[in-house]
Amino acid sequence: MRNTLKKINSLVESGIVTDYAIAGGIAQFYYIEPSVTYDLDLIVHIPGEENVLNPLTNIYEWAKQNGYSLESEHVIIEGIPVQFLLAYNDLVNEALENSDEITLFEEFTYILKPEYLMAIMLQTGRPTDKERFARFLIEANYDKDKFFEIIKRFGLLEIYKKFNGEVNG
Amino acid sequence: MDKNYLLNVAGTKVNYHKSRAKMPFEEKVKIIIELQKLENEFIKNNKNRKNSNKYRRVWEV
Repeated sequence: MRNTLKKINSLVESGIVTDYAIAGGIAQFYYIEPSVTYDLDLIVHIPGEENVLNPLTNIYEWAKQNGYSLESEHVIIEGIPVQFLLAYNDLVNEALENSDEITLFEEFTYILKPEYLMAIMLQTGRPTDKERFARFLIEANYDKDKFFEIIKRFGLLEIYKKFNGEVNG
Repeated sequence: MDKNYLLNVAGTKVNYHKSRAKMPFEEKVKIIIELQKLENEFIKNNKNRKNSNKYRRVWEV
């Protein structure tokens, strides 16, 4: 995974990506016990993304030039399927802007904070999100005040209350 | 079955999963790759399993 992270960082160094953070399952498993996932999701900012029809074109072109294949919207970078996701709403955008710099496999990288991951899981609301959110409540070390501040601001408090009701009966 | 026994078992499991959450990330990635291989094996051998069109590729790292 170190080589994959090096290559992702090279995308930032070359200006193809402005910034990124690890999101999705891999980010979640940084904080909780791992279960199966198949891709490395990255939330990214791309230069000029708001003006371009297909903002990921430059990434796909870079992948082709570097011999990385494309499979089902995933770029296989050093053996790991990577999915590049634009910051698609205000919550995700803020999550990216508040990401933490960490070191994994002796390579620096960026990861979404647990409070934002939890809020995004509530917002997305798929069965997988609900299951992992429940695990976050038990297993993850997160700032409860920060979490509630975020979900109140993004109108997710009622969803949280409903979810808590479902879990606790 | 005794309710206290079940609560005790549930509590033990919670503590177990909490401790697993704290393991080094490098160890977690190894587990994820093993789980990918395991799931691939299950899909190959269990013809009754619902196999969605989900993208699956074991990491080659």
